[in-house]
Amino acid sequence: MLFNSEQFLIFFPIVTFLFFLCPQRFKWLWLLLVSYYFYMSWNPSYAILILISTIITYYSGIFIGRMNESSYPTKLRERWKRIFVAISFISNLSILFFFKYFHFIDDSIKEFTALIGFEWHKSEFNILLPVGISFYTFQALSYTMDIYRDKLKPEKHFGIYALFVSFFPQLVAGPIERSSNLLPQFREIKKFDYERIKSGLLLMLWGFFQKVVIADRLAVLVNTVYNNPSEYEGVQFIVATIFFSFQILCDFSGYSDIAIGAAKVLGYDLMKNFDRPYFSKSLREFWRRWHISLSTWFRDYLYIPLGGSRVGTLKMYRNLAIVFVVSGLWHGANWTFVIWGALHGAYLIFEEITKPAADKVYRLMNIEPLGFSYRLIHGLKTFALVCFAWIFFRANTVNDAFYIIDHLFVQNWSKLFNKQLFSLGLDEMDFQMAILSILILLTVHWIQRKRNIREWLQGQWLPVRWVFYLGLVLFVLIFGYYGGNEKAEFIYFQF
Amino acid sequence: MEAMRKLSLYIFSSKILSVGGFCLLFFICLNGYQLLSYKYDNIQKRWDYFYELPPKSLDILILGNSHAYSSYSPDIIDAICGTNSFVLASNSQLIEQTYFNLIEALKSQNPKIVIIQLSSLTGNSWKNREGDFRVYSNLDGMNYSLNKLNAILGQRDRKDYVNSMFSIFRNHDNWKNSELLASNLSRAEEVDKEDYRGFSVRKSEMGKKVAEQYELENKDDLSGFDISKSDENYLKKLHLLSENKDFKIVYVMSPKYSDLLNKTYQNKYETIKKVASRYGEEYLDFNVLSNEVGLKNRSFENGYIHNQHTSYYGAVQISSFLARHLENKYIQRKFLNQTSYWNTRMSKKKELYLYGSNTIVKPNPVIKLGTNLNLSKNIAAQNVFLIKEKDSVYRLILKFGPRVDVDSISDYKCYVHLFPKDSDKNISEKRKKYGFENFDFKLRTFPTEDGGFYVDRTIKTHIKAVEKLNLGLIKSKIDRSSQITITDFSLQ
Repeated sequence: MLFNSEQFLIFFPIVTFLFFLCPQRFKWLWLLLVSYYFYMSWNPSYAILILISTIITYYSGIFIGRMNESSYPTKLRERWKRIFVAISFISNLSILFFFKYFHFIDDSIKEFTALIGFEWHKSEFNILLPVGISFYTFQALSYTMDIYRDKLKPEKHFGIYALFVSFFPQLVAGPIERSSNLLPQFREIKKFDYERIKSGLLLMLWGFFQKVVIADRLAVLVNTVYNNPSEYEGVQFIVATIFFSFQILCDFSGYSDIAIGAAKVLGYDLMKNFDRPYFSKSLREFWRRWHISLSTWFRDYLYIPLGGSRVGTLKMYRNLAIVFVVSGLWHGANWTFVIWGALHGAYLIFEEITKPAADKVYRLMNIEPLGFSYRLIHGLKTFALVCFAWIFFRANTVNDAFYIIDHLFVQNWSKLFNKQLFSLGLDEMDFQMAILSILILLTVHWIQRKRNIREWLQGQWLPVRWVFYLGLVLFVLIFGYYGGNEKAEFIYFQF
Repeated sequence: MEAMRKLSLYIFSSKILSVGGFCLLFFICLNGYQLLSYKYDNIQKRWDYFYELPPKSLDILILGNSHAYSSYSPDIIDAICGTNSFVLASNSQLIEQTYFNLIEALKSQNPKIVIIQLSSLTGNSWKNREGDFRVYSNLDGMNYSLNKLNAILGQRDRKDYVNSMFSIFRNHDNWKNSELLASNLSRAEEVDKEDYRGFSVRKSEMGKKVAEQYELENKDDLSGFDISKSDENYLKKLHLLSENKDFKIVYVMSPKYSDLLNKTYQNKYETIKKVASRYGEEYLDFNVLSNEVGLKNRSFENGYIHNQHTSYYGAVQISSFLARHLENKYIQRKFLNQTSYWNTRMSKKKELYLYGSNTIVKPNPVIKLGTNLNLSKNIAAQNVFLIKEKDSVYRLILKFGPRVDVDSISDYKCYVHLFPKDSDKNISEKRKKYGFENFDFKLRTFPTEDGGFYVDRTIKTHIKAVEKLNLGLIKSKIDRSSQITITDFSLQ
């Protein structure tokens, strides 16, 4: 069930209405049932996987928790803890690898063996990737790790723990929640809170705006170009890549906002997942603002265990490289994602290497790091680098990506002005609407630097608020790009 | 404590009111855009005009598919029967749609007779994605109500419920179509509306070639024709509705040339008749009644298509036959429960003067220009009259008998000169120097039941008070008919 489907429009109000009617002690059960229903609406058999993952991590947590409180000698205790963590990690990651990376590994072996003159017979298994498996697996593993580190007491109530893994707003595409944030909320008393519901609905509406008005509209042009790269060159690639950078932001940030808003309506606070990433002045800052729940997950559960930045410089670079290659692989079973991750790792390492020298130059030239021109130039530089990396992320194959890069700077700027851009799937009015909606997005992000628009709205006169709400709802309904036979899925569902 | 409880209750009530008010405003805006963005067609037009009818003003309601709105002219039926009728038909209407349309109609009207065209039982070949717009249009035309929801649940797939209920999801992209938005807006701004009753004219008449194609084609084998259980269930529901709401159902089947030639058609007729009789309802099949009606090749539209309709000529024949049948069998004086409404409406309809009896009440808006007027050699107008539709708008009718060759008249143009009473003030500036207004037009002919035809032309003039009218036919500068001059513009 997609957030942008008719089913969800019916599902969510019913769930919310009955949630508030439900006695407090059964609220968790209601949410658990509807979360499983939500997940099973894709494919009922996938529920078995999420249940297996839940059972393994639940019992691992219980056993590790017992070890934490046991009077065993430290060495023995740590050994048993490690065994349970290993069981949890190996079993969960095995499921993830099997369903997500089996074909990727199989294909890669075939290509490699072909290079050295051997023939590898590909498997005939038909494995479908379960929706959101990377998200709930990581969420469940973070729970195991938090208990292992003794930062969290294990959740004894299996139902509440199962709800933590499967909570429907963030089940299939995050934010990847921390147990310390979400689990306690399921035990809190949730009452009908008008202001909170209003705020949640407004956030959902903003999410729909990003998804339906911007992302799905931009997707048309991006798909046209990226699915047939040999037919295009130069400015067409540049426009398609810039459009993709906003498409993926709006697609994923839109999903996150709908998820956070939906949870807020029900009374739960989820973590922020995006914080105006295209206003970043460096790659390091970009990763503090982009897919925050995943970046912090990798920081806490991979980068820091590897030694983080407390090790020598070279080891720190190695750690960065590992984190970003794994992050790339997490996004998808394709070499394009691996290269995308590696490229970001390289950007960050380069940024770290050159940072002292660059700072020195700025000091010598008396450039104010908080000044407008500094922020603008570094903002544009960061955006350009991110866009360049998106080419690998979006291209269907590595060859396509290199073809696009090879033809990226072909001089055909005339196509920007002679209406040929309107033959890339978006007609002139849709193209103008795409630009206008991107400008609206950037303006909102600009205002949000200093002011929370939702809070500002709450303080306005009722007619102003109503005009704003009505205008936004109608804007999404009228100017949204939808209505085809197939619903536009969220890009991050495939991860 | 009590004060706190009251305060909480007050805050809660005000929030509920606020949400309710917002939702109401939202639906008003949503509906406004829906009306602005849909592609308006005749199906929606029928609903629009239907909803504008005075409550409980209908005596006869006609339902069904395109054959219903092509074959049964409410104006002819009303002229003959003295009733008020309406065709609430839609393209490819199936029996379930007919049922829900009837329920909707019964909310504001209490017809005594409901005529249902039964092509709705005989096929669903149009039920494909391309054909969906017909169902959508019909649903879009309906006002929001529980019945509309039931109609959607009864006709659409689960996945399509929201799309069917809210046309904005299908038409939202029309914001780019400025012409469509403008035309929808201008329609909404229209003040004067015609008295549209849902009938659509198919002007072409079947020629020899098309007739031959039908004669040579392989005919459908209807010997095994049967009515599905679902369709029969709806016939039962319709019957129960007729008992509850006290109206008479008459099932009808308009003719198709291919069915006239089909020897196995008799089985289809008997099967439907049997089911209709089971519920005590009459079934009139115009394929079977073709001789009584006097159907000819020209009674059908000129097209070799699976669902061939009747031509306007055929519609006139069938409507007159049906009207006389209803008049003889069902119509009693009590049917005409809206006499003044009927007078106001029908007194300005040409059908009343072409087909109706002479039971008109005053004021009569017709200016009789003459009978049996010899306009030219072999061209004599049986009857010429002018209907004053409203101030400065007249409708000129020239009726010709079957002896006049319709082809010979097509070479002519008609001219009408209108002279004002006060020539200085009562005429447009550019016509002042001539002293009269001139209307030249080609003769667009329409058939009459007796094999003759008539010419129908609306004349919109700047002249508020006409003193004199000259009328004649003109072929060339030297070939002109004699001129008719009328000076008596007083209405009877």
